[in-house]
Amino acid sequence: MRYINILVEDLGASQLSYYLSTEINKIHTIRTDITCIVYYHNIHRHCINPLFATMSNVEISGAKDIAIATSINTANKLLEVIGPTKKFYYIWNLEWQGLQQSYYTALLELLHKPELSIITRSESHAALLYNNFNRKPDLIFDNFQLEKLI
Amino acid sequence: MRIAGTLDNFGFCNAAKKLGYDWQVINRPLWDIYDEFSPDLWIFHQIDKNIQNFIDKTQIKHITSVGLSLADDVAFSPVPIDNLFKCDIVYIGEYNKLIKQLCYPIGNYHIKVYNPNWGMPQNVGKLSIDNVNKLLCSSKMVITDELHLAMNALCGGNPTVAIGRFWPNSDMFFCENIESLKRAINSILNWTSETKRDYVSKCYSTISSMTYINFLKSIL
Repeated sequence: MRYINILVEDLGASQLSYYLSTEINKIHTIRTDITCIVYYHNIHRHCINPLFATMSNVEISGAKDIAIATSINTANKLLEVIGPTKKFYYIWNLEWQGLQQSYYTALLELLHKPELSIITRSESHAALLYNNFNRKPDLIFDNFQLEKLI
Repeated sequence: MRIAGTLDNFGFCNAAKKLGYDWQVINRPLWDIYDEFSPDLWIFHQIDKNIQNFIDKTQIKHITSVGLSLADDVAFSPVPIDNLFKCDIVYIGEYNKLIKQLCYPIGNYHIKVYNPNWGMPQNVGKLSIDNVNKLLCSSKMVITDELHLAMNALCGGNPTVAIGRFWPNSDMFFCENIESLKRAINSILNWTSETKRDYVSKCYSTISSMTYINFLKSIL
């Protein structure tokens, strides 16, 4: 059995939650050797009925195999966990655009951590990521198409 | 020698420390600083009514820094290229339509914009002064719209292109439209290190005396 652990801010109504839940539900119907667990930071009402386990991100210390963070906050959290053998940061939003403080050097350090592989949603996001942080993504796929990762 | 200056006079602070003078930030009532520190020179950003009253009563030696265009060659100096900051162009300055046309997806240059107030994906936000210097020195060229920023960039040995309304020296590229700006960029990006050095030294020669250090030396 292989595990895919995904860290999100919440599973409330959002494009991220919708695609994440849809794709994991789909994976679970076609692959029985994979278990996906979603760890949330804030509890919310699910936007789609999940056919997978969800739990608070304080439980992430027990995660193993693959772990995917979906925000700067969860990526920092993921770096503190020693269980997963492969760590990804799926850049869902260009979050740095909305930040006004001195985020740049902190984010630069985060994106250049050797243990963190980067996934972007599109070629245009990849171009902007390289332009700003001199970091090329390891994978590019949109809307949580997890079969590309598997 | 003792100098008191407001917090925004970062360049004067660097220069005073470099020259071995005592520096006091004006962060307390002026009379307290006058009694305890007895500065030989006061540097204000602007003079309001209260400061004017204080000056009239004490007859202190003072200057205002507003409108002064000086180069900070202490904070800005050549440093080795940092791969994290490496890029083709750094733009430092206010919002500008010409620069927007260089940025992805309209343009295709590897450009980093340093202006915390300009909300665009290429913006690198707020940086410490050391990192600004690293950023400038890790780029192949700098574009700017202000004289003192151009001078700071030149202090780090960076080829600089002016797009603002200030009057640069005759050796510096001055671009008013996107065609001339692109021509200048494409030319500079293909320069050899010798050509770059010649351009920077020519541009810098006319402004080399306009540094905070030289200014302080001349008035003290």
